[in-house]
Amino acid sequence: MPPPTPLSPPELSYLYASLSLSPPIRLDLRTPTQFRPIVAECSFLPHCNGSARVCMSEAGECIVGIKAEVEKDATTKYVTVIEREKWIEVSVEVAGGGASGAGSGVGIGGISGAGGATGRDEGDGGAAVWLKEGLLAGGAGGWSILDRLVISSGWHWKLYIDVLLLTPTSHPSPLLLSTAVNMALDSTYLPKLTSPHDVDDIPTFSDDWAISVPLYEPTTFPRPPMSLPVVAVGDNVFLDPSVAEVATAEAGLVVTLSLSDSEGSCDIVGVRSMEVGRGGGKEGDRKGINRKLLRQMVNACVKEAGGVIKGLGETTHKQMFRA
Amino acid sequence: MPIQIIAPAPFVTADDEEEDEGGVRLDLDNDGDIAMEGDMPSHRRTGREAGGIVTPGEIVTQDPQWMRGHGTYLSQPSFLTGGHQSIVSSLAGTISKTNKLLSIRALKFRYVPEIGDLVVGRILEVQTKRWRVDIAAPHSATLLLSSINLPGGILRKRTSTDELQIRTFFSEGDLLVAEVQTLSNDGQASLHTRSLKYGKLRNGVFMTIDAGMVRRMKSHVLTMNTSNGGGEVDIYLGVNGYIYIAKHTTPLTESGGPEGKSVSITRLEEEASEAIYSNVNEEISPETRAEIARIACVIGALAKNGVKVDEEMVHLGYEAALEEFLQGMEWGGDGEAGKRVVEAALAKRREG
Amino acid sequence: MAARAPDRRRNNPPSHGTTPPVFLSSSSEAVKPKQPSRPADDVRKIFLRTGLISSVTGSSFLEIAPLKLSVSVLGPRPLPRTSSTPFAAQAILTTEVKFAPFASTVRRGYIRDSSERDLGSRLYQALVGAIRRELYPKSRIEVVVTILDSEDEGDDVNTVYIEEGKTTVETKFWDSGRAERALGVVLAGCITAASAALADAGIEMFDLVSGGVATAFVDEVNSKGKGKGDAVSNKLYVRDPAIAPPEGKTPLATCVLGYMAARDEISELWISGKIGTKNGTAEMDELVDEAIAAARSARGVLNEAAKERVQFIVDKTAPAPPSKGESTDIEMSG
Repeated sequence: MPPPTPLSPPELSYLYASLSLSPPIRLDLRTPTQFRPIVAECSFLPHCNGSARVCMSEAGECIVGIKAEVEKDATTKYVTVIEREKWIEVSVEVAGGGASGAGSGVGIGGISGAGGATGRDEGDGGAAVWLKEGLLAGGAGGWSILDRLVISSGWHWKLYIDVLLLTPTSHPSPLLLSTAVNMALDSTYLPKLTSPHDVDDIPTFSDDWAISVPLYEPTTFPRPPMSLPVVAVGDNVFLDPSVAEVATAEAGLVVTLSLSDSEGSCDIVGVRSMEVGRGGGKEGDRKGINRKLLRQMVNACVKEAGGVIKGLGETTHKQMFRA
Repeated sequence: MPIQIIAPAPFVTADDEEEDEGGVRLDLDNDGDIAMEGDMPSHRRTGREAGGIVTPGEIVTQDPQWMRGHGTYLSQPSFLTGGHQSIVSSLAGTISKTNKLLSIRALKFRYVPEIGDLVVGRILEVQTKRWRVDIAAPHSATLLLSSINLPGGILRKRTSTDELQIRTFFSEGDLLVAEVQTLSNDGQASLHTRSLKYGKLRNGVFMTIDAGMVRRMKSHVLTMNTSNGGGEVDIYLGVNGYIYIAKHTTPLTESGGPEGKSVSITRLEEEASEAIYSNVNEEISPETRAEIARIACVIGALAKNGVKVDEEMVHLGYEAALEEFLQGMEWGGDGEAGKRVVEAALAKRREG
Repeated sequence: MAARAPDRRRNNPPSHGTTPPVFLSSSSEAVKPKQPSRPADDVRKIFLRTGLISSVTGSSFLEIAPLKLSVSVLGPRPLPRTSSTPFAAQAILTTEVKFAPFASTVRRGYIRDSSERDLGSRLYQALVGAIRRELYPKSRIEVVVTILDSEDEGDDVNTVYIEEGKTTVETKFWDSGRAERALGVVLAGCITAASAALADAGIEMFDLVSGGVATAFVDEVNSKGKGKGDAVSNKLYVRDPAIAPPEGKTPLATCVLGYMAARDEISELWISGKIGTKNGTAEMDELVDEAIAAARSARGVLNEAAKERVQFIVDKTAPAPPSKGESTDIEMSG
């Protein structure tokens, strides 16, 4: 599905030329690896185990609420992989239900939303699948977030991660969603179990939030994963692309990374291609990514991701313990 | 750190800024509720100053010397108003007075087209004999095929061939600069581009700001001399908040074409018109591109910080930006950079 | 297709499916993964044939061991002339991937679930760059994939065994990469088959896209005993991996890609799992190269399948059976 109002051919060619210069000129005068500032706060929804609100200048605003519910294992003896993966439910909703209307600029730049004329359903379904994939894959040394959700034999936490996009768009920005989910997970606390671990009975919990258990131990590893969008125009690679840059780009990836040590080195936990505008699709232009460019794009993410994840973690930590 | 994360700023009301930190707000009673200034609106001050803030239903004045303008209505005399007819606000916004005309400017409003406005628009849809153009107004504007310059001269008759080839002039997504020609009863604008000043936009970048942030001026097309070897840059400040910043091009009517070759008078219109609808950009140097981006950043920063955009502010802001960042490749990720530039520009205006 | 309201004309079974029966004998050795019997750098045999469905513009059928899928291509056909349809200077491609309800161990509903929608958008991403869409303005090309049979994550080897009364999870046969491998094989098959169907439909393309999938495994011992620097050297890359991991190996990451061999470009990339970055992107590069190698093997089959149908039609429609000499001439000139 093409965006509702595409960029005009002169605009695209102007952008393409600017971005493929060496050094490239981005319209907002950022360097290729510079991120736009974001406004973020976490743990502000009293009814949630963890929450975050993130605002970005262009992508808009989104709220993530994480609720944990005690659930009995579906099967008593055997927990299949399918069952275990149902322990986390991610949904992405657009407040007001509106896709971008007339005059709201280009709507391209989502993580998926490709599959055709279905619009909203498709895009959000894709975003939810991709967010969950990153969560399940993330972690060092065989660590899985699912292990943290086991309460006792026969019982587990069911984690509902609800993402609410406050700014209507048909193609949510991957960075916005990922940042918000990352912060919300980082601020998630679960009540402390008071009944023994190895008993099949209904578990009991302490109602004292002061001794609640964090889902991700603060300032240790692993940290929640983070997805960074990256696009390529010509030989240049850009992090945190703007809507117009995505429309101009020839190739795009969303690279999901998780921190592997305190020095800020990262493991790649997922790579997905992102739908881009392909600069107007001229004949003979690049139709995909060659291996050299792929390396360049992923490298750019790997270099910056450590700082980004650490920065987010510090901000979350500061806000959590300020109150 | 490659990313800048800002904690959300607490909401600041106008009162907070005016008072000392320890001060007690007078209009708060013990419960912390806002004290009612009497139960009836008539008890409120009348004859408010220009720039004062009003809410819908609030009486602006009872003085019969004023005429009601946009955003106000006349209320019938009643016992509440003491038998006077009063002008009541119908918007939340600030009062503006033009001679004896009282009107309310909403803080945030959609662009309402007026005849003669210079607007920048984007083609939404191509219809049989006209285009639908997005100009950020509640209704999209129309541009009739008969209101544009056709190749082969202004005076040429419109033919059915033109109708079939309508996409060769403007297609979906194309940007254009036009003038509001007429308004229909429901406020829908009809545009025209029958002047060589108007037409398709090329060689630059498009950006949007809130419509209220563009000050109405005599001319909305600015030409700026830029530094760092950027050459001249044209800025189309659409009254509707759509802005196009492009490399300066010599108007085609002036002695010959863009390449300087002389064109005979009879072929002049034809040459000009064919170039008008081209989709190919000219050669633009990296220096010009950098300066165009810088101007775009300046305009964005001005609008974001609540400063109306006009010729003077664009110039001052640009100068301030040059002083702040000579090369200007590092302010994009800096959330405070825009604010610093705008403050410097405002200081310059106070000085000059 | 928009998500439709539930089908009311049929008597629908429960939408969530039913739990597969799990048979476990008292001996803990009863559940054993099947061992792949081919070398790691070998791919399974691919059966691919085009033009099987006569009512659509182009079609193909693909079979890779248990995976069976058919692809229909409809169009290019005109977009519906409604006021809400925007003008399209390029053809609009829509892709749809649907598992038949009986294609997996756990029954799937008629309505596409999120993983099917996701596969659809992955397939879109793989194909959209390859099609010369600008040649078909104001039209629509639909690619519909129906998966008839698959080796899916619901297989019985996939159960996690928990000792009664204890929380210890027997993770021997449990690995998180299983779903990715299963979906990866399906997606790679979809990409290859869809390219064949597009070629069969006579739609102009820059290059054929073939799908490839590879998984990186490490020795189980090494993954547990962390800190050993030689983990990299013990990596085993398996092209076209089967559901069951090789004996004594744990999966690290799976890479699925759509690859245009003639242009050496990747049109779709999907990596899931953990890849270290100690040596920059070297580990990722190795995995991607393996997946590309798998895609290259699939490309050979794809080329033959595309040619086979053309050859068949040419032979059939030839006015008179050409003499031997003539036919070689044609081959020479082509």
